[in-house]
Amino acid sequence: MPAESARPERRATPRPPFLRQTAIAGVGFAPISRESGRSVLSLATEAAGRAIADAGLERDDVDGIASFSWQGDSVPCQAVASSLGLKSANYLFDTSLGGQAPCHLIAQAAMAVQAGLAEHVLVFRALNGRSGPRVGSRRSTQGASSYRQPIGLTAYPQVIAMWARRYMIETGATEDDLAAVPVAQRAFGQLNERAIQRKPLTLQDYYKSPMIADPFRAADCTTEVDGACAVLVTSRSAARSLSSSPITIRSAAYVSGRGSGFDTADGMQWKDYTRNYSSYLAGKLWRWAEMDPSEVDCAQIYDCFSSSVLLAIEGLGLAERGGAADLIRDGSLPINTNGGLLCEGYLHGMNTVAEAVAQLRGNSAGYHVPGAKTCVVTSGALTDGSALVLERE
Amino acid sequence: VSPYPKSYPRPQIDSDDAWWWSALEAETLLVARCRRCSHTWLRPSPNCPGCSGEDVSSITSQGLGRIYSWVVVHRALDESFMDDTPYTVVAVDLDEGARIYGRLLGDVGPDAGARVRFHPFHVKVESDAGETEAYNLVGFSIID
Repeated sequence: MPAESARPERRATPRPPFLRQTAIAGVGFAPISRESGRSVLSLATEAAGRAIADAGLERDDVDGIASFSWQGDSVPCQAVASSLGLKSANYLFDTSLGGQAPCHLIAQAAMAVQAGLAEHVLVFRALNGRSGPRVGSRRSTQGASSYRQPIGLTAYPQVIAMWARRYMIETGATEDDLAAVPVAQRAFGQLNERAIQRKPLTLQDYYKSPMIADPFRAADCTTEVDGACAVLVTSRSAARSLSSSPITIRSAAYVSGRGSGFDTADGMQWKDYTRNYSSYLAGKLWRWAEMDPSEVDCAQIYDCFSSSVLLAIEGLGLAERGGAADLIRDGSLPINTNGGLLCEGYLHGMNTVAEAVAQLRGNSAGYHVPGAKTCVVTSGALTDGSALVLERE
Repeated sequence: VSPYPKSYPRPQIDSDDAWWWSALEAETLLVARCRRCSHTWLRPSPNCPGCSGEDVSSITSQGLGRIYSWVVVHRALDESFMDDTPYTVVAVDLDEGARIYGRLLGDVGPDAGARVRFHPFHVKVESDAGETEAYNLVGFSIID
């Protein structure tokens, strides 16, 4: 049965006007580590400052900031605006979200720019995700969490392992197919000086990795880290004058479909664990991009866990159903060229966007894709999420 | 499986689902059902996720269903469950139409589509005040 995305939309939604009129002009990081020894505000300010400098701007040029946090693990945009000493912040936008947020917030920032609310907007994620509150072991009291936590379904690897298991049941995917993701990404991650996981990973090494939440081994799971990443969004015309390689936002989409549930991990109403949000936003994403999935030069796919990559590759139409692992093994489409979150560390996918930008500018943190001009990026692993198609002019 | 450590994550019961937890205390598994469109779902919520109708009622599940998926937890990421590992949580599609998660009880391992039966699963926890708190949770066992 084809995914819903494969069916024609009842009503073709016109392309949002901010697409192709907005761009990304800078990226910046604070160091990724297991123990920063610094405050989240300090990390956020460093990453934001570096993104501003990377764009060739002064801090007073920036008049907007958007960010996301999970259960209060970050600092508000107001604090970062103050820490940067911005003269006038005209657009500050805090959201309480996780990995579904980065592409979504880039689109929100781009809309604010296109609508004239702000001229240059930073989007950042900052956290002490390892030395501070850890998403893997922290409790939630929201939504449907009481239908999971008391029986021992306490953390995302356990929840998403059930998606992976069902994907394996329906498509015939094997443990080797899950392994394809970390093995391929580690080869790229080895090249990435920022990556936390840089040791070589063979298929044999993968099978020696301890089982965490069957079918997930440690090697299938991202590494929690401290750090920060920021991206600067501006108009296409400003980006052209600032940089020799402006990165245009060619398409953007977010979706939370019916049955998406009462909190991020709630899968009680989501019937099909073999298709996540990516299957439901792909139609809009590619139509607005006026591209076919086969036309992109690389992909940066949100990879909190290995199976999330397989589902998104198929949801986006980059491979046929059940064919994602083969696509990764044959290497014809470079995916997660910085090693992904699996290697670089879990900045909740903000760094996934940053790698897309870096790759298109010709300075990937890991593997450089010769002549890469377009890249699809995703944010999220479960029932809601977002994506971008970025393009070098 | 009791007593559980003090740190055990208690169910957070609210005004939308107090009736569901009360029934579970009486070892009855309920499913939210919309009187308007007959949609069934969990967790209970004030409006039907199918049609947004407010006429939410419930039906008693016969406690039978099929395993949709599962996870075997080998490394507890919450200290309360360290003594339980390895343990299995199953996602079960109840015959009444809703999906629910439960602990897999018994010696038979999980399999896709396997028939299961609901068993309330009792836990006791010592509260900070030194009193014993007890909860029923959802468990399933495989039936032939």
